[in-house]
Parts: sequence; C-alpha cells; structure tokens
Amino acid sequence: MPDRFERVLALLLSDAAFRREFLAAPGVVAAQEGLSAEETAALATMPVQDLETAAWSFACKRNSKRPRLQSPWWRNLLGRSVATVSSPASGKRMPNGT
Amino acid sequence: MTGDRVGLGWRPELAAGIFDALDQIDVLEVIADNYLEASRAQRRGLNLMARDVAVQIHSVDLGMAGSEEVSTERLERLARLVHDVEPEAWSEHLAFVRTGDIEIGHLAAPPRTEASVANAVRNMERAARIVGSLPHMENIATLMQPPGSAMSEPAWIARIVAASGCGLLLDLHNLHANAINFGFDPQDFLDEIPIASVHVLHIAGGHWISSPDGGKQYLLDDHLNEVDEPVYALLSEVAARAIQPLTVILERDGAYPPMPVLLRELDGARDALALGRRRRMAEGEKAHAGQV
Repeated sequence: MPDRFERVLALLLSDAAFRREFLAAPGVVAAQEGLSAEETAALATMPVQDLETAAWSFACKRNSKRPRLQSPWWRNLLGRSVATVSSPASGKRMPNGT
Repeated sequence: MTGDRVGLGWRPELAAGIFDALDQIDVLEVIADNYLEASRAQRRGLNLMARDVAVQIHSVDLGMAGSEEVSTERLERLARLVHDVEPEAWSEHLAFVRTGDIEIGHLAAPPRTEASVANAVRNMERAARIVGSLPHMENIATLMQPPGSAMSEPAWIARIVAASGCGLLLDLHNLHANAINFGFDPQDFLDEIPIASVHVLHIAGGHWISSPDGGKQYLLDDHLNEVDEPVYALLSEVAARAIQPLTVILERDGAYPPMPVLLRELDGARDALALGRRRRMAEGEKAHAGQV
C-alpha cells in the first residue's frame, strides 16, 4: 500500500488542479487526505517555486511519453509537407535526464 | 593498470557511430525500458553486442524507493531481458515513479526517512530474487528537496547501501545539479557516501531553466548538452578517493552531436580519471613517506 504522504506528494507533482487547491488551503486539503499535523507542515513549507518547477518538469516528461496520434495514410502519402499533429507549443526545452 | 573503463549509453540513433568506434568504447549501457517489449531478434542483437563489448542494463521505471512493492510483472519482464542479453550488471534509481494509480512521469525523490530506506531495501531484495542479482542504485537529480525528510541525501544513500549491500551508480551531473540548485558542496556529499561502493558513474550535461514565475534559476539534468567542466572535476575527485576500478558512462539522450564530439567527451573522462588516479598515487606515496 502506498503511504498517504507519498500519495499527496505524487498528486502535488502530477495534478495541477490538486496543487492549486493545496496551495490555496494546505491545512484543509491535507486533512481531507488524512495527513498528520507534522506531515501537513512539511508539505506546507515546501518552496513553491521548487514544487512548480518540478511539476512542470514531470508534466513535460509525461507529455513526451504519450503515444502520438498515428498519421493517416494520406499524410504518409503527402510526406513531410504536411504538418504533424503532435508537439504542443512550448517555450522551454523538454527535460530529459535520468 | 587501474581497470577503469569509459563508455556511453547505447542509443539506436548513435548505432553506426558506436560500431565504427568500438575500439574507443569500453562499455555500453542499454536502457531496459526501450527493450522490454523488444522482439526476439532485437534481444538477440543486444546479446551479440554484449559478446563484443561489455554491456550494462539501466532500468528507469521500477520505482525502487517507493512505498509500494515493485510489481512482479515489471520485475519478471526485466528478468527476461537480463536473461536474454546477459549484461555484466544492471542498475536502477533511488526514486519513486508512481503511487497507487498516480503516475508521476519520471523519477521523483521520496522523503528521506527510515521508512523509505526500508522500502528501497525491500524492493531491491525482491528484485534480486527475481532478476538474479542486486542492481547498482543511482542517485537522482531533483528540482525539489523531498519534504518530510529526516536525513540528508548522502546519509540516506549510505543507510540504503549499508542495509542492502548494493553497489552505487553515482551520477555526477545529478550530484552537480543538486549541489547548484540547493547550495551544498558536492565534496561533502562524497565525504558522506560509502565511496568503496561506487562502481559505475554517469556523466552528462544540462542547461539552465527558470521557475514558471521566472524568479529562480535551476540547472536541469537534460542529457542534451556536453559534459560540464565541474562534472569532470568531480570524476577526478572520485578517482582520487576510490581504490576500486570505475566504469564511467556518458549519457546523451538527444540533440546528438557528431560522433567525434562524443568520443572527445569520453577522452575527457579518461583524462579526468587519470588525473584523479595520479593524485591518489601521489597522496599514497606522501603518506607512506611520512610513516617511514
């Protein structure tokens, strides 16, 4: 079984709506998730910039792993002159490291 | 003769260049996750390659330091790959990647506590039973210090090594990036980890990014850039501290430069290793002279 603290940490890193909700009212959300006062304090004192940057990096990773739409046959026929359907616009380069 | 070796990550995009330069590459590291669903022919190809040059398998997606037991299915798939390829060793990360039905997407740092030490050790023992050997475990780069931690990263790593007996894969760019982003001295980190357990090292490059609000800069470990000078300096430092042979792997995951550039980076690693080994020898001679 995953522990509750790890689950909330994973949600903070992967779910933008949950993160917004938590940052607006950490005590309320942590209580809903069943965290202790000590666990709540540990999460509530995290530097927000670090959390947001880490969450951005993980979102890039998840997007890069998403299966791309298969090109229909006519795209292959027309070749590269037709724009591909993937690649959301992003000003930042994708994090890659392991 | 130190037995030190230098190689790089196997990437299909680099295959032609790698085969042309095998006399300059001591070891190749294959990403397990790219071959878990591979055909028998592809695995046979990796096995044949492993007969020509030392091959290590590097797994990314198990989540060895998470609170959940790593799934038997994932471990059995990895075991089949290791069985088919016959690498000399395999490795994973001190990270969690999922919890319950939540997929984080990449390697996340768990809280550094006695509980996560126990989780990592339990998962390693399970992995060793199913795959057939303990992995080397790698320190990860993180953009956020894990909340709820009770110990420093090197103390946490030392606890895991002591409790499991695993070897370490020390990623020097991860160490460098964490040191820059969180303001600590990487020498202190090296003081605290069991250096005798370090058998494999990763070197790589990164680039600077800003936080989404633009208020803070971070060094991102991206494997898309050339190895930074401080990473070579850390490699020399490890070579000066370690007695055992070291295997250095250059990681490059995209924006591939021409092969001569990568081979120059391998030479840079050899030079850094040699520099550290010379320092070790000189310090040993000095200490010996002092005793006589």
